[in-house]
Amino acid sequence: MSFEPILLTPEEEPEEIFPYRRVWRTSSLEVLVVFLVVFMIWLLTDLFGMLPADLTDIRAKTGIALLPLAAWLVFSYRGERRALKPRFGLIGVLILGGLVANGIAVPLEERVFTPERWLPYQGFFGRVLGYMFTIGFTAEFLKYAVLRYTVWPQRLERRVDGMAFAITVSLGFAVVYNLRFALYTDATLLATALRVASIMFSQIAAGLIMGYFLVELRIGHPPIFWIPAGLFLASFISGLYYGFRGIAIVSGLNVGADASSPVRGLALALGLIVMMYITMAFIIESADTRMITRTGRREEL
Amino acid sequence: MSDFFPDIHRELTFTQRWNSYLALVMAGVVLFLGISMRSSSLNAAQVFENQEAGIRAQVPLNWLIDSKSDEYVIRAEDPNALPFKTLLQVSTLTVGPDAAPRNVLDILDIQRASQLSAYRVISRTEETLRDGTPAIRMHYAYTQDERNPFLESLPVVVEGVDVVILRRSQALVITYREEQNSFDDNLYRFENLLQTLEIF
Repeated sequence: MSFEPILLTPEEEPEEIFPYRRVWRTSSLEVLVVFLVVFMIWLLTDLFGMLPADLTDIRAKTGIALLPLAAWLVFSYRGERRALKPRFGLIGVLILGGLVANGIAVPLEERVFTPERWLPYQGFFGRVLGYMFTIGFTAEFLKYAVLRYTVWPQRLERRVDGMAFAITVSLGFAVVYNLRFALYTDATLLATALRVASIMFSQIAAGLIMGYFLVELRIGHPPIFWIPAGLFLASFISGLYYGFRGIAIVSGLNVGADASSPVRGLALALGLIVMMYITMAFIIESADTRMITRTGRREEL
Repeated sequence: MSDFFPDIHRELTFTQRWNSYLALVMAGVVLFLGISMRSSSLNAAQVFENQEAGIRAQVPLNWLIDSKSDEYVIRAEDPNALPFKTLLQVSTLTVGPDAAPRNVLDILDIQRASQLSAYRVISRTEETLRDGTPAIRMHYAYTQDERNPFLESLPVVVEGVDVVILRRSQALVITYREEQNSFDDNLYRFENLLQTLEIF
């Protein structure tokens, strides 16, 4: 009979301090906050009638359009400032994202692509491909260009860095679209809130793909058509979302007086971003685990 | 800016460099495809033919077509256009042997002045069609009120163009009407109709 020696007062293993901001946690909080606020507005307007259905107050609309930015500043940016190793350049990427959206994407959409004149009259696949080849691709290419020619490759040392920067540039993009919708249309507060959530969630969801492909180009050993494949996939997801959004909003039997159900569009946008967060987190964790097994570290030196 | 972004002048690998080049190439190709899709969708047309009137022309696909009226041979309207349904129309008028195109326009002028609100002729120009047929073009405008008074909407300013061609004892009037803000954007549809119009 043999005994293994047992230490009565074993030395405590020091808990590893994570020096970076946890991107998934803070981003999920932002999504949750925006979703809850929009959902509350829907409840108060459509279900309880506490907010007038025709409320078009410009200050309220601007406030809801800026909500994603405020949530990002509170959770992500403040979290970054508090981290031991903060990621630099997020504010610059955010501003550039907004600038390219306002200076390139919006004029292209309004003056060249004019989607409202032809896309809604296409069939499902026509809408998907039409949106993908015009607005979807433009948005993803511009996000790619902002990241590729600013923070890439130096600031993208870990895979999750790509997610942090991709979410930020997508948010800059979304804020511009949200503000334009709030300021330049006669939409009600509820319609603006639903649109804000839809734009934010879909832009971030597609942007994550581009962020992953960019960071993998820095860290991994992808083929020479890696980025084109990423652009294709990200814009395809955008196109699919646009196609399904049309179906989700106007189909079904329990429709309102205007024969539409915008809350289903909100559910679709939420489903998309939740699915993308889970998928990307899984892919990144798997890739990091493989990298740690192979090299003993999860970042490129 | 250097505070925000690090020095980007770093040696790229072969793969990284070619990914960047191919991304730019792809941007050009995809945007070309997108604009082509848009153009083919906007310019998709269907052939309309009326054997009795001896007219064949291409009108936009998915527009509402009416050819069952005594007032016109064909009328095509864009059902999705707001606030005014873009209109293309071909009609015929019987005229005497000495009639000139401008006489036809005079008649239309008199009729419209009493039918259309705030009707004004903007210009008249003579032109020659692609096959050498002489024609006259009239540009005009009027306002259209919403028929339902409960909708409380402002009047819509409509711009229109007529092209008149004489054919034996008939005058062919080809018309385009559109809300003033979209008039120039959709004028190409009228020009397409004119270019594809066959009289037999």
